[in-house]
Amino acid sequence: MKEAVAGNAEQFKHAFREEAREILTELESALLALHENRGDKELIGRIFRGLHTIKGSGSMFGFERMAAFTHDLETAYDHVRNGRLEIGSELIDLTLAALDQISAMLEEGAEGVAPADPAVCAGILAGVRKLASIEEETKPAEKSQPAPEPPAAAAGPIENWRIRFAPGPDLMRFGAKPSLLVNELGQLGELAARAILDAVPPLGEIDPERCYVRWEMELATAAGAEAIRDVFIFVEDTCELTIEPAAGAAPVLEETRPASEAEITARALAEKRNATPGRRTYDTPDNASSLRVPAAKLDLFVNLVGELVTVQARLSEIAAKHDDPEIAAVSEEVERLTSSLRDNSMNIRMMPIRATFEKFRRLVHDLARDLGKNVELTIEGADTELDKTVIDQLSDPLMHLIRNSMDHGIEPAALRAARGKRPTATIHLAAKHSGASVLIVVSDDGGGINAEAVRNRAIERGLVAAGAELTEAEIFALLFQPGFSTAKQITDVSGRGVGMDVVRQRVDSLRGSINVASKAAEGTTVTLRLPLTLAIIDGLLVSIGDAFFVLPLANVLECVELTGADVERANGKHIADVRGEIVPYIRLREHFGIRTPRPEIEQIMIASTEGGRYGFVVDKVLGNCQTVIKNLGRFYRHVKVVSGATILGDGTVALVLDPERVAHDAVRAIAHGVRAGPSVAAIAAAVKRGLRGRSAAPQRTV
Amino acid sequence: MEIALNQANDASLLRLEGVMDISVAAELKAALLEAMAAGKAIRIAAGAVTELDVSAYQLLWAAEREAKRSGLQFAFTGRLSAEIEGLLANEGLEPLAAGQ
Repeated sequence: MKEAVAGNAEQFKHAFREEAREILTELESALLALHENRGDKELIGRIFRGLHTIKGSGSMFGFERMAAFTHDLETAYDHVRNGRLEIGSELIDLTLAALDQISAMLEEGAEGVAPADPAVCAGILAGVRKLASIEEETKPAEKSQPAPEPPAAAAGPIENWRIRFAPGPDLMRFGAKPSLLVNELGQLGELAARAILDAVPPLGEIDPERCYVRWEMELATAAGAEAIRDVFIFVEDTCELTIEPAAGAAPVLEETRPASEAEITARALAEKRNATPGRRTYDTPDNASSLRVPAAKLDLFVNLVGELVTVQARLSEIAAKHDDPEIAAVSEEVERLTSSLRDNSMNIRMMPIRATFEKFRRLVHDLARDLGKNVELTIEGADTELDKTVIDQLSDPLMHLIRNSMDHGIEPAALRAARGKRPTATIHLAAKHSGASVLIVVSDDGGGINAEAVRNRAIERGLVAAGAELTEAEIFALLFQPGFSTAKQITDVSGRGVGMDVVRQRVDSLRGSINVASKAAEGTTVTLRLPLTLAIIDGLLVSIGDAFFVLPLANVLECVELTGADVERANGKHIADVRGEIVPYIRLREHFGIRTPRPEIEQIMIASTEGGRYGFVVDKVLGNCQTVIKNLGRFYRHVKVVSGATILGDGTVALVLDPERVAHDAVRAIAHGVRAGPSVAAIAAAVKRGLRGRSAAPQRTV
Repeated sequence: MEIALNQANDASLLRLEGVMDISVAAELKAALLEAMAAGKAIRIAAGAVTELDVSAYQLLWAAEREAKRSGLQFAFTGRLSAEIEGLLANEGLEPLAAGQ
């Protein structure tokens, strides 16, 4: 029994960690915003409440050290709120440093996380205490029952609230103690609590781990509805909670005692908060609006949906072979449902990119301070949603790009002044949808990239031939070459490449592409084009000889026929006339070295790529298919033109092509006068062999 | 944490010590049921209880309610400490065995 309780407590701790991480991120944003806008009372209030929640809930879930550490910070911000302490850079920087330590305490024991440093913590606390003139207390938050504090949140007029709190059946099982919550409410002001026990069943029927008691409370406090709700922040999903102003609001409790001087001061300084009274119950849609699910469960779910899509494809194929209207009807229904299930499951994984973007405010703030530059970060399109897997992997590349912009893009203040630029430089982060892709843009208004210097450096490093003629885009692409990143401080562009090959690798692994645009003295814009989702795509299934390929439908514009007569008219050049427009094409048969005889009439799939429209010539277009993309495994990771593989309904393997890459490779092959030789064919065959071998086993092993 | 039930001639004696919370709630429930089944007066020594949370409280409360219904005496031989009673009062929980 005790073990079960311990397990549940761990589960609840886990939930606390997740919530606390969010609070820490919010705190960080609020602090950085406060840096810009010192007088913002709303921000100060948010910071205070965040710290208060971390402290209170931290001690409730066994993070005593964290709670104790946060105590003085909370007090300092209480002073700021009440006008007793002025907010300054020093306190903001100390608080930011403290957040790092709190975060370390929160993740303690996790792999790869440096533990909180006691010396640093002590230094921070000493600094905060000195600033806020707080005397060292004796471990205030380490008591198991927090001692009643003076009303912590005295920021507005005293109001009476009626609070009904019915713990959910599992609240205690998760390790939470309802009585602690009631006590914490008591710290906000004058509390009159009444426990109602009418739901307690006969002794024999009591589930010992379930809470049958509910509470009706009246609270007179200046803290406002939001602060009251914050007390319940970690349990509100599992309880019924109503917070409403006491009807007829005769401030009974207030009259019974004279207001303290502190309260009078607090009221005088009080911000006018428009906190609407909160009402949370099980039956309101508000309560059911979101649900926290571990990412691993979601991944498993999406994998299962992927398997289902594969099996459904097989079913459709079998149904097509049997001329049985009943089977056909069932198969169609399954197809419709699978498609809808697939879309829904993909949608579940979509998350706004806001949290990732906001995280960089801190990086920019810290780097700006360290580099002595004045830089602001602007964010656009933070609500743009993309697949969680993509978001998870975006942090590193974005960090490298921003670092590079800060370090090498943004000019020193004197140079900016000489160029007549604003003294405050801007780094702009933006996200927006574009078809089946998301564009993530990192731009700065710095000095731009010196293309000539990059070119010389590349020649020096032996990355390009000395006489090579390169377009600007090709030169900028060199920045992402692995060889470039090892550059030491030699030219004014060195360092631009630091970490850039990491960016390239990560974006490649996400099947994305990078585009760099830069103007000398005006700034640089790096655009990452990333797929919306990684797991399942809509594609067009095509065949060349006995090989099958899938082209992502998002890229394909149209299909036209290519006859022998067309080829003759073009004098052997690989160009097609599509309604008067000349479109260059790539014969995939040649590109992949497939040696089966060519049919009389071929098909050109016209696809849009970043380099323009290209045709991809195949033997046959077999039709639409929903494709579950399987990774090729590490042996074939270097095969860039193939972004994955998929299993068709009959068990055959088809390779998923990346049109951007194929076009890029083909153009390069022509430019350098080499043909895409048999090596590509060999790799493609090897990929197929590898996948075939594995696909003999049940499908999920691939 | 200790829960011990002893049977005397005229009463079931339940001694509670230490933290009475969810981790011992099942044990406490079993002891209370056994005491009820004995059909004798129930006396509880609770002077050494250092913490009493809602899970333990609701068990004792239910036991008291049932004892009263069956005409059994339900009393503390050693009362809960003043500190714990104070906390219970703050939480709006009525005193146990109030008439004693």
